[in-house]
Amino acid sequence: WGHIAKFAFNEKSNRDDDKLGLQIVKDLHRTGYSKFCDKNRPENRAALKRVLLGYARWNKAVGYCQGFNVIAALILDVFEGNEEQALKVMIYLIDYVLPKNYFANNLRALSVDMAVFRDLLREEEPDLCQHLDKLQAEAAEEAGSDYEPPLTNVFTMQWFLTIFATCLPRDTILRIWDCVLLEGSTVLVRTSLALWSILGERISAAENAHEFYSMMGYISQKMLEGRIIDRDALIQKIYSNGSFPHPIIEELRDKYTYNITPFTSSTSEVPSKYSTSGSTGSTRDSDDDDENYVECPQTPPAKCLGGFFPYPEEGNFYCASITDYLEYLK
Amino acid sequence: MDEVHTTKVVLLGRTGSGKTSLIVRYISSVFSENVKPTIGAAFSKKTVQLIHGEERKQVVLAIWDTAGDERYESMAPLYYRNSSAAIICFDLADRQSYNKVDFWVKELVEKVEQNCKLYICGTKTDLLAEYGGPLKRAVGPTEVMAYAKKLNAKFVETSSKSNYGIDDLFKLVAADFAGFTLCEAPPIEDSLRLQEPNQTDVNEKSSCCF
Repeated sequence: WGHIAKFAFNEKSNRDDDKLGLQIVKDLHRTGYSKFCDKNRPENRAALKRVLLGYARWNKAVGYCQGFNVIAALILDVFEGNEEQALKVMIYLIDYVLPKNYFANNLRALSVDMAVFRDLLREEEPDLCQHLDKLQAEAAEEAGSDYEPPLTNVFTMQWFLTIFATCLPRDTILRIWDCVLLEGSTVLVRTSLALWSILGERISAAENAHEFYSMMGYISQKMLEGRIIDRDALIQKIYSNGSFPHPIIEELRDKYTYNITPFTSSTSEVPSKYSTSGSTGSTRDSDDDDENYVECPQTPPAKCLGGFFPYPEEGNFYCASITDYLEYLK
Repeated sequence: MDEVHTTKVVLLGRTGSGKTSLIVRYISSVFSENVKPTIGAAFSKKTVQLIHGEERKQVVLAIWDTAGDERYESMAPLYYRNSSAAIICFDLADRQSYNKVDFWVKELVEKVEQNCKLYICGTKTDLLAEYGGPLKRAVGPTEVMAYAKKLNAKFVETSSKSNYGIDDLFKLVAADFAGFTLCEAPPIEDSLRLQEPNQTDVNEKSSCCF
């Protein structure tokens, strides 16, 4: 660690530092924590910068990602300004607890978790999902578009990317982070499921997509202020969702990670329940080669971040990531 | 009963170019130096009343704010698809931020967003020396105007801090969408005309826009 710390906090400038530094500096005062906004306390921001730059030097593939500023600010605050400890925890959290490629490689693992999350939400909150699907379909129709992102996407994605640091009050975030550190990254999916389930009744009142988004804008603000979500009830709900390790989340993650998922010709198709993938699962061993996962007719399509791209004419189109798809479009 | 139309507007631009501040000023009439970076995207909505002679229309602007971080660029198509207007922001005092404008223009053109009207928005006029701020313009208005003209885009300048040009920008977007022309707007308090320009380059800008 001594060696890593020395490299990460090296005062000499490295080759990539300037560009990274510029981006990081732009976000130092934008963490939402007054400690780092205060112009009279420049040392706090300098410490935050060193931690963020330290992480970016440590993991060049990930570098700096917007949202890290909020995560690092909170960690630094918990460790009362101890930069080395803060960096260590940040490295542990991002590189060893969260799935690989959550922030790198076109957010691939994040896309996987989004797909996993949607499958599970459909299972657990079928009425809510049906309602949201309807709003989504109507919005697409109104826009004359053949696709529209699933309504929950924009919020869930932000929750995942900041490990809830931009959506909940500090004490609740720390409780969730404790769970993440203790139980692993499935807590992210569990927490999102619990949050949507708690919000379900409220958002079911939305009559169209715009109303839903406006409502969620308001709700997000209230959540951040510590209303709406009861901390203890949330933690209980997270823990009541299956055992640890989760019986299904890991399996679904594997499925979406290794399956190169076909784009099908129907946007309105409701993916079959994840339980059907269980029956497929029984026919394969966990140590199967990745090739065996390529075509898996019984599993629902992942459609990357949720099937919002237009489907190609030919049925034999396969898409591994958004970038691949955009490449294909070109 | 007025006619009500809804239209989708997207804000694009480099990180720190002031997209979120622009929207927060427009929607909530407040300004903060410390607005958090947008992760992914964020939605807001506001209704604009348009009056033209006897004709009255209401335009609901469904506004999508997007993330400036390049990491999240691959998500942008979700939010600009089927927009009737894209406001591409850049920081008037930051050349890099201006350089990014062309990236978004090309992206929109390539992805065949034909019906999307382009607005190029230079932000943070309050920071410029000519408005009493500490910084120099990083890009001359003539250059931006020539570029905007080539694209058939409109160029506006705003300050979210001093609330300059923001309402006008969104009214312009709404009016363009509804097929109203600004010069025909009635000279009422809520008129669509920009405030009287008092400087040469701003003058040029207005004549370019309207």
